[in-house]
Amino acid sequence: MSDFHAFANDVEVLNIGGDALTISNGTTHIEVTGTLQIGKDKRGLTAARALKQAVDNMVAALEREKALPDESKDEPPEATGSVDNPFL
Amino acid sequence: MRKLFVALLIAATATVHAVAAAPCSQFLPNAQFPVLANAKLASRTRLLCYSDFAVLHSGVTHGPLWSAEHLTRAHLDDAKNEVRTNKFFQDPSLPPGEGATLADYKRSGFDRGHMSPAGDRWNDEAMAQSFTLANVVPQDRNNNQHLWAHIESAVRKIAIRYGEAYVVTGPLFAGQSLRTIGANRVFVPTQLFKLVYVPAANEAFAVVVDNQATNRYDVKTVHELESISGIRFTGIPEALKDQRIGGLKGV
Repeated sequence: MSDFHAFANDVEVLNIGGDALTISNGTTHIEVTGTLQIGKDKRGLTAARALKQAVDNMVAALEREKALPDESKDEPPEATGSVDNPFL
Repeated sequence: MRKLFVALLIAATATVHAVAAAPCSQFLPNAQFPVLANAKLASRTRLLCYSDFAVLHSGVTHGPLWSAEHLTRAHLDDAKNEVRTNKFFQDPSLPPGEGATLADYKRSGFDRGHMSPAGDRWNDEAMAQSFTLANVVPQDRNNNQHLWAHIESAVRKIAIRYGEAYVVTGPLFAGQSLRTIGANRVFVPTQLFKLVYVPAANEAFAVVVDNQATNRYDVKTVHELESISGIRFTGIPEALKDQRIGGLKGV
């Protein structure tokens, strides 16, 4: 369950409660999206643990970095290409 | 007329082969695969069967043309319990050059937008499979995270309320020129559709949204979606195809 490797790749997505909350990994930033209801029940505990592990993992990864900038700049996306619509 | 006939024949033949090769018709309404009425869509298509959804993949767009799932109340209840780390992956069953690659999406500025959503998957295997790039399209990030997430959630509620629903989701490509991302030139859809058939309510409808940051969605009849998409949804009873619902709750 805790095989989320913060900032190590661009392919991992931690899903909690289906896709109620998703944590999408990335080498330059991690994206947390959604709304998660954590109930006072076993399902809630499982969700809370998963969330904690992921956040702990992020904090550890950031603390390992020797020279964190105050704020890193997002690289602009690559320009899109274009193609004639072959389906017309 | 003759041209249309040839088109339908090719689409029908492709469908028959697909059925024979891969029996995953249980995810489709009345076990009938959508028919590509626009024969140009049929070029380099492959049916991919996963454990709880099916995809028709296009080697032209480098993504799905449709992704079909059968939602049930019991499965959706299991889906809510899913907690796992998934990984987007390039589908190994696709010949080189047909599928999108992880590199195509990296730095594209687009989300890898699921067609059959991860949140509907009711077991670990199915959820892992839903991260195949064959089940995703380049989707506007804001759209994916807000409007589209609300639509997915509203459809889940319908399935829970009525016990089951058949859902087919896919991209639309409108206009003379299309945008692409990455070295493989993955087509960026201009719009996305979600077709919903609820047998217990005797109801079928479609939702269409522009692939951009928007809060607006359009409700279409099945016939209207068939006309826009070039795909015929033969498993949905004809009598329901002109129905128009008011809107989705909570979107």
